[in-house]
Amino acid sequence: MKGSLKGLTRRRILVGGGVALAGVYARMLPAFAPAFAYDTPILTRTIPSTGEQVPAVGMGSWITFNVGANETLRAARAEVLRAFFEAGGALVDSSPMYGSSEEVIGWCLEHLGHPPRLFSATKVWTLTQFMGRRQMTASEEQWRSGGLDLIQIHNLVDWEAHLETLREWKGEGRIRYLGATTSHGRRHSEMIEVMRGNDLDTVQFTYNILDREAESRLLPLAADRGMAVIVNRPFRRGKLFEHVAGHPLPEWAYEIDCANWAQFFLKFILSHPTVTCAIPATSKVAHMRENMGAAYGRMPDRDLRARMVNCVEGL
Amino acid sequence: MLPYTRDVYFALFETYNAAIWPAQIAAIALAVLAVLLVLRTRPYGGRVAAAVIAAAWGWTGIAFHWLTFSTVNYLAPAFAVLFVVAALLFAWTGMIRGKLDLRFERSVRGWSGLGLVAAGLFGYVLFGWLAGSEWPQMAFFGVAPGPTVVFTLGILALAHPRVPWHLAVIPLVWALTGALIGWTLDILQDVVLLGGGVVLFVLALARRRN
Repeated sequence: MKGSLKGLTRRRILVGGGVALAGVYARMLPAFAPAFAYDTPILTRTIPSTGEQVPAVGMGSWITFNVGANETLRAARAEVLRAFFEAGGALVDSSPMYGSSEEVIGWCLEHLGHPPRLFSATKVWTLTQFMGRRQMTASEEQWRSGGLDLIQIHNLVDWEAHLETLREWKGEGRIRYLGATTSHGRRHSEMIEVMRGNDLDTVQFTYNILDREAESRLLPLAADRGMAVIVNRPFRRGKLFEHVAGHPLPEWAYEIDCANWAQFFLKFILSHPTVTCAIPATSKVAHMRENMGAAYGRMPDRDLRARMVNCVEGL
Repeated sequence: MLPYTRDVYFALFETYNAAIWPAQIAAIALAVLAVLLVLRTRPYGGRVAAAVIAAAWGWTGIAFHWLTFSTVNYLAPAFAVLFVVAALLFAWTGMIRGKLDLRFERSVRGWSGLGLVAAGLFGYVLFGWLAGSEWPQMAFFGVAPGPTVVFTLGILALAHPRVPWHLAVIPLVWALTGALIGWTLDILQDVVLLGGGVVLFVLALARRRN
């Protein structure tokens, strides 16, 4: 298909609008240098309930891994996943809501010989405890990874019923962690109630440089309750790239080892002390390498974080 | 926001078209036969057209939405139900009760209806080809939603004395849904659906006022 109505993609924005950025980037790094070529070890964060360390940049799979049965597209996604693990990544997040994503991830993992570093995170997204059990069992099979590390209650759908099952499965050792998720700006009050009244290992919600509502209640509560925080929509579903299109990365961004806007956005998130892991999604190997680069090098301090916000809000 | 991309959508069509070949040809041949019967004002033309439409919606609901599209879209089972309901409505009203009286008149409405029928059968594929699609990625009447809906709207525009609204609701709803999906995925030929739906709507209203 070549016909196009809009055709505005992250790559086009970056290529078409980022001439100045490309120039600076070319001076800073040798040609074809991997975006994570730093001497520092990958940034990891602790899951408070166990003390386990996980790399701070994970991988989401909404849209990007929903490629159905097409083997060419599956093979391309396997390369994305390979780049993720090669760059030190571990946490892969999915959901039964994401179409064929779980099955495709399972196919890719098998294709890659089951990377041992995998931290598998999926969700339960259905009504009734019975259907939840069936769905989670299906997820176990689709991932082909011999068990799941984390299951989260997707958007708090029928959370009381599923929490009972997750507690039971965790007690049996069938999963290692349980959690709950919500997406941008929705059901925050209910999420707070669930967090206050239940022992969750992880919570997942939206947080990025322009959507910072989580700073006021969700992040402090997660810190207080000892819950790991997984951040979704770190790029505001790609809208952040449209927001900065045509604007070069500020010179001072190199002080925190940012080579591109993706790393700028991710380092803002990762520098919040309560955040455990951000899960950007991509279907491109080059973008995966850029994303993973955010888990290396220096991180912004409080002052620089404020400067980052002012910079992006001012564009 | 859709849970899949344009590339995935076309890859899905490639697999689906290969799996069901040559059902596409059979569906178009049956539809052409039904249209010829309607144009020659045969008394059973309406029943045959309704039967073809019912089969097309039933097939698309089950084989496309339920068995294929559901692998990438969690809403597809709901679409399947919608399509099967439409199939049952056409079967009951047009095929069993014989209440779909179709006549071609040399009027704006008649020519518009015939134009939509042609668009569903051939124009849709031609449009897709011009937009850069190759055959396995194309949507065909009787087995895929877009052309099936356009064809159905065209047939309904030929209904006499007026458009049976209970048959038109689901095609119109899908025309809008399909156009939105097409707009989101930059699929030009799917955006045409919206035009087809609007044409039928305007013509039907004009007929009622008369």
